[in-house]
Amino acid sequence: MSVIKYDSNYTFNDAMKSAEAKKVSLVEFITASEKMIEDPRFPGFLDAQTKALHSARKIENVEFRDGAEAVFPYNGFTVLDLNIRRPLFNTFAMKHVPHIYGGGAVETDKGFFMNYAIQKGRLASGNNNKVNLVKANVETLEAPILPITLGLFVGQIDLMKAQTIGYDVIGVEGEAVRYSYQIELDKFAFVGHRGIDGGTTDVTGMARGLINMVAGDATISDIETSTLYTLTHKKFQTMTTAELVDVFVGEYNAFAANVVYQQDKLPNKWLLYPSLFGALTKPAYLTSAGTVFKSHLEYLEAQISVLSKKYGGPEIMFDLLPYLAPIAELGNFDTLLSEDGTNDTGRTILYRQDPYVMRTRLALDLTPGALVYDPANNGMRRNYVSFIGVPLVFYPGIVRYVDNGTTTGE
Amino acid sequence: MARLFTYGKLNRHATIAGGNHLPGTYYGAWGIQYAAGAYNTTPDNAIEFGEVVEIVQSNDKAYGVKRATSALTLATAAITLRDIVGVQTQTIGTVEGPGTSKAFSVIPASAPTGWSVVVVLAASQTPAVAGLVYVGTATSVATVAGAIYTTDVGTECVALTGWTFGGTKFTPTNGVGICAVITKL
Repeated sequence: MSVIKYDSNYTFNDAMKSAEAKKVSLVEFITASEKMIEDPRFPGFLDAQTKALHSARKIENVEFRDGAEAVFPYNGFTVLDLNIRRPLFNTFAMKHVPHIYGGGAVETDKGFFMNYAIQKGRLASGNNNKVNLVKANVETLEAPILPITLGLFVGQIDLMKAQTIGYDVIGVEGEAVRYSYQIELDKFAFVGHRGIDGGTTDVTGMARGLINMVAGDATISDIETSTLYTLTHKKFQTMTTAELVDVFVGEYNAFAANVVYQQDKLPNKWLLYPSLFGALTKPAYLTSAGTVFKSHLEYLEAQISVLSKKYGGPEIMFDLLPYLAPIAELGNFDTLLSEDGTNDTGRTILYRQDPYVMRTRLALDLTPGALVYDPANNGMRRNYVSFIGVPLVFYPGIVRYVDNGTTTGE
Repeated sequence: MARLFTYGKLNRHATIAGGNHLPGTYYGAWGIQYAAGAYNTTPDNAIEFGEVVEIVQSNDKAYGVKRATSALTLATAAITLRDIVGVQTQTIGTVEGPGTSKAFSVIPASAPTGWSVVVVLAASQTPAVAGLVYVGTATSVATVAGAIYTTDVGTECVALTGWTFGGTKFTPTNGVGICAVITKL
């Protein structure tokens, strides 16, 4: 496709408006315009308007501009790629934490759990009236919901200049708001209210997220001190295949026992951090001289898959969450989101991603207010608001932290 | 609340019979149960379900009861039942006792009865089946008023004569509160 020369007065907005006027898509309009230049059989071939477009275009194998590039000068000897590259960005809340929507401007997310006080059957006789009795008990659970706000401001002159070059500055700043919001969702979903007090540590009684729950709300299995296994190596990265199977299968079994092997409560996801994924791709072996045919990871996946099938549970998905890595490996993420386990050597999380078991409430999704002129500051402003909850765990202990040890055994 | 029984979250499993009954719950029925409507004569001193309270008056309207004191006797002791009630200030957890100025049910300990009920054990008590049942009176700091003991701790407890433990202790929640079934044969 062609581009418009920098000195042309024909902009993206012009094309967009023309497309809207003709009630066709932008692509259809541009394609038709191209044909008007290049195909004599096409109606409007090289008419006056088309000639203006023809004179304005510069043949390049690049896409139509979207404005911001017009800020930068270039000359006729420059081959310009006018695609705007966006920043590297990734968040994980929506991938790993079940969310439900709705509620609006509220402050508490409440739910219920019921259990039965079941009884032993008592011996009955012809005329007896001694009977054991059952009962049902109900409890409430709740999680706080907090509002957050974000906003954008574009000065009037900046806005006029942006319009001159067809640059949708309010649109891109709106996108920056959405990026900010996605990170807020990660914080609420993974570490709860950590950081709201300005600090970086978790406070007793504070609302928590998927990765920083207290013992009791989550089950914490510390490989370094666990008595479930007899291990020479207590750090995942140095474990033998046999030890890895011992731990991974042992943890799955412990999880399954905790949910009394109820099939629809068995786990379906195991979150690992990047360097652990890397370590697990090392060759699996029976002895140091054994033949390599699979990686640790492939072997573990296969065995856990076999196990879960035997229990009637779902397939376990090994998935990535960089926040669980030792903090030195966290990379380009906010350290507030770091949770590297009891021994600071990394945490893995075995859980069931299921809103019946645990979910957070997005009471009000990011909602923009009106774009309004702010005379005091001579610019346009738009504020956004959202009401965000934290994970509500209906089954305490069902999320299982498997924390990496420190003993390398080497 | 939770002066006697420290509640946590309800057990999540229903796989062990007899392990999930909360304090004040009927555990077994036998014959006629004598339970009466009651009200708290000292409303600012709240009563919990499963607590042994002291009957201070009985009239043609209701029993008036209050938290146990050193004046407690077998004749004035009564066990608070877990009625279905609503609460106004509940945040998290389960209901722990009757609301202020609300009616609730008590079983006079002296009444003929064969029903079993779940009561609140004082900390560190380990009852044996058929063991004797004592109630703390808080005459000294050695006992907690209205909680159940397995011995006459501090020689200040009141024996619930005729009542025995119907089972060993259990924890129906993940809190530290322990309870047990008592029954009168």
